[in-house]
Amino acid sequence: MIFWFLRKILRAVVTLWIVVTLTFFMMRMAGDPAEALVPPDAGPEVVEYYREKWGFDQPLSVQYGRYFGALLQGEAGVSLHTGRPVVGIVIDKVPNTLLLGGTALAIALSLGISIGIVAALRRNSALDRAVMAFSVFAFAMPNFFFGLLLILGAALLLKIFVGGSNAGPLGLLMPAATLGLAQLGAFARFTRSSMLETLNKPFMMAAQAKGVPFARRIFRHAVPNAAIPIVTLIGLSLGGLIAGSIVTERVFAWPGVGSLLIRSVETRDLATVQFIVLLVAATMTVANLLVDLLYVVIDPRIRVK
Amino acid sequence: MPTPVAEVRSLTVDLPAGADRRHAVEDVTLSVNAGEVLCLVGESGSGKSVTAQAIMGMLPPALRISTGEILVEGAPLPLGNTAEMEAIRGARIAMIFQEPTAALNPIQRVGRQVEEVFTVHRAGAAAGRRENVLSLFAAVRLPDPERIYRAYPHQLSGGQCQRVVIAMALALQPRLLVADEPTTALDVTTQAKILDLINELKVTQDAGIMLITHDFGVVADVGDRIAVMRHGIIVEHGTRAQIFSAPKHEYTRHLLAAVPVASPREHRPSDQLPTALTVDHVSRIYKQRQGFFSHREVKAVDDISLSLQGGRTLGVVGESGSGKSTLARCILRLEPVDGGAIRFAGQEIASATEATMRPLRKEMQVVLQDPYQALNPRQRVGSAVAEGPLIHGEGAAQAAERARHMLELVGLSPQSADRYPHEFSGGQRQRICIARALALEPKLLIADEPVSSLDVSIQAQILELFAALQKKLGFALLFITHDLRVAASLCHEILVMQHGRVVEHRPTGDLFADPREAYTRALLAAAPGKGVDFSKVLAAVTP
Repeated sequence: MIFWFLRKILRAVVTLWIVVTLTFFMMRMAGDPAEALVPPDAGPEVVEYYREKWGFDQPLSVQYGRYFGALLQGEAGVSLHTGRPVVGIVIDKVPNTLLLGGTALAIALSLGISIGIVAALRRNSALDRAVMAFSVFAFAMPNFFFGLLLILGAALLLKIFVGGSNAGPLGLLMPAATLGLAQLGAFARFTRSSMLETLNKPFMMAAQAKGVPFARRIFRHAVPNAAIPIVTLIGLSLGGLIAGSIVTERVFAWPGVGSLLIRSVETRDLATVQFIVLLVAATMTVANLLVDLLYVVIDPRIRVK
Repeated sequence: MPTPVAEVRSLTVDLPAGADRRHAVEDVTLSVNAGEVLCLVGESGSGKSVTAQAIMGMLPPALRISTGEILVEGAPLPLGNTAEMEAIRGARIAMIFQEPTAALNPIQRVGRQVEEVFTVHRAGAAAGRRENVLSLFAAVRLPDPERIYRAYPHQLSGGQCQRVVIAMALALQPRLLVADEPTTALDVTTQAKILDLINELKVTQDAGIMLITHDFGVVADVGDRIAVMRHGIIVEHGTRAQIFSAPKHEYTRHLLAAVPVASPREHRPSDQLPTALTVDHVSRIYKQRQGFFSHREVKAVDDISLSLQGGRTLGVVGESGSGKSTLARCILRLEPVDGGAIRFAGQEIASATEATMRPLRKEMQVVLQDPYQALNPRQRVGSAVAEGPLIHGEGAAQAAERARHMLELVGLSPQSADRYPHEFSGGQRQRICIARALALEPKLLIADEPVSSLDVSIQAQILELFAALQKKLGFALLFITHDLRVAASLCHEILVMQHGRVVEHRPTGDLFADPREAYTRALLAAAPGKGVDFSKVLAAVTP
């Protein structure tokens, strides 16, 4: 059990190292950052000055060594624009993004799973078909478009403009709903099929034969078993949430990591982009590690003896 | 006259429109007395499970009771009232299932699952429930009840799971116990023990037991009264003595005749064909990881040697986990071999590469246990049979012609070629699988439990088909089964396996006449129906 966990952690660390290395080299292959940073009318000596200042004149291997060494000490360099340490800039935005992503995931999970269960229990009814049609709509809807629709709707019907500094519950709920919508559809469909499969298992019949009432059969026996594949989906959906949050933050001018990433890519702020990518990779890795652990908690069959 | 604990009076259950018959069960009248086992015997589709589900009030939504009533201890079951039925299920009537492992929630400790019966029926004080469960486990002869209580289903054997399910059914001392094929999925020796337990419970629990089975061997072991069912109708109903000494209905005789008799069939010495397969000290070792660097070795196949001539049949007999299927996969080289040599068609194949194997594959074919899963549901039967010859270079028209011919050879019409697997019954599907294997004219056919998921009466037909085809085509047959009775009727020699090793390997006649090893004797003793001499039963009734 301990060994199993250590192996998982080791794998996670290797994954992160690969991510760091890949982003480092790809960002530098995409063009000369010094060229992009200085004003277009600056002379070659100005470019050269900055190139030396930021160490871009060194061989790639030296740059990589320096960067990696600093990273191990918890430093990810300074922003090429503001000169502030990147770690601080990014961390400032993390709570906003976590709030948005967390709310979106909560909406997707709670709503998606419950309508999935209802659809499975009322299989082939009008309700079932409505839920399934809605879930197709949910994950087929591009979130940048759905976000704009929401903003427009709120502005026209409620006479409220949602976006940017506009706080209040609607200011959070609207982007969170936009972001969670696609995942919600996926959770609903997945829950439905997983529940249908579980409901047909012999042990559900056995539970009925021993006199277990309907609600208890569903919540004590069916749902925990049906949840096992859904846990996998949670891990996978995180990638979609992170990707979606970049667009959604932009649409709603939400001051989070996503907005920061877009700005940094546009201005080729190497250190910032690298650190955000690393942060995303770390989030995904840790989340999937948690999913693996959660498996062990809910499914005794995969516990290693 | 004993009072029945349960009665079924003229029960008719309608099938949905468009089914192959109007009623799932029609005008069924039955009664079960306390301290008695009523066996409901029939083949799949006879309506015996529907009868059980109707008694439990658990019919699938598509099925409706049109007439009749069900009484438990003289009172009609409140079938329309969900809450009242929930109070009765598990308390006054209880059920045991065919697949014991699947009947338990895989992610809940089995002790908790049994305890749930007390919880949902609010029986006894919460504090004493654990103790109740432990004593139930002891009553169904489970070893170490404390450990079992904490175990999950996957940590228990099939027999142990069935004992847990039985404990669950007995928790509140029901008056009626419905057991739907409770031993069909178990090994022979386990089956014998569970049947012993059922005989014991009948006395100690003073409950009525309704046992559903397709196997007259099982009936012979436990049945006090017997009802034979066919196409939803009870064709014959009588005491054990009546049914076994003077079966009236022809269908009852047909079922009795199908019980494999544990005595070897006469085998005339056939022409000596060349040796098709030689297995020489073959082993297969599985490594289980333990920690970072260490692992544990499990010898699934341990130093097995055998040889097999064309036209001969070798039975490999063993219980689940004995390594018999692993041995088959090693010979087919679907699995690497960890030691020893295999000679097939004049070549050493134990260490052959896949490229070397490919032309040989056509010479060794396999028939698997579950004909429902062995056929691609979206592939027409003819194309499934023709696929092998096509891959091995036969022209399309020729392969299609061969497929039709093969289907005829296994007793199906050539027109079957254009139909899909779901249009066939289990026995017919197994015939298709055999046709598919033999279409390549193999030298060696490996059949891995080919009849164990079939009804007993269908089993007999498939076994006869194997014998007839072998006579005609001369292939060597390696026949894997857990049932010595089945092996007896077909095999020239029998190799008994346990824990990956050979226990005994002798000609069939010798093995049955004088089993040398204790394990072989235990297997022979465990075969159901040993108390009844079926060959005599039949001789008496055959006009």
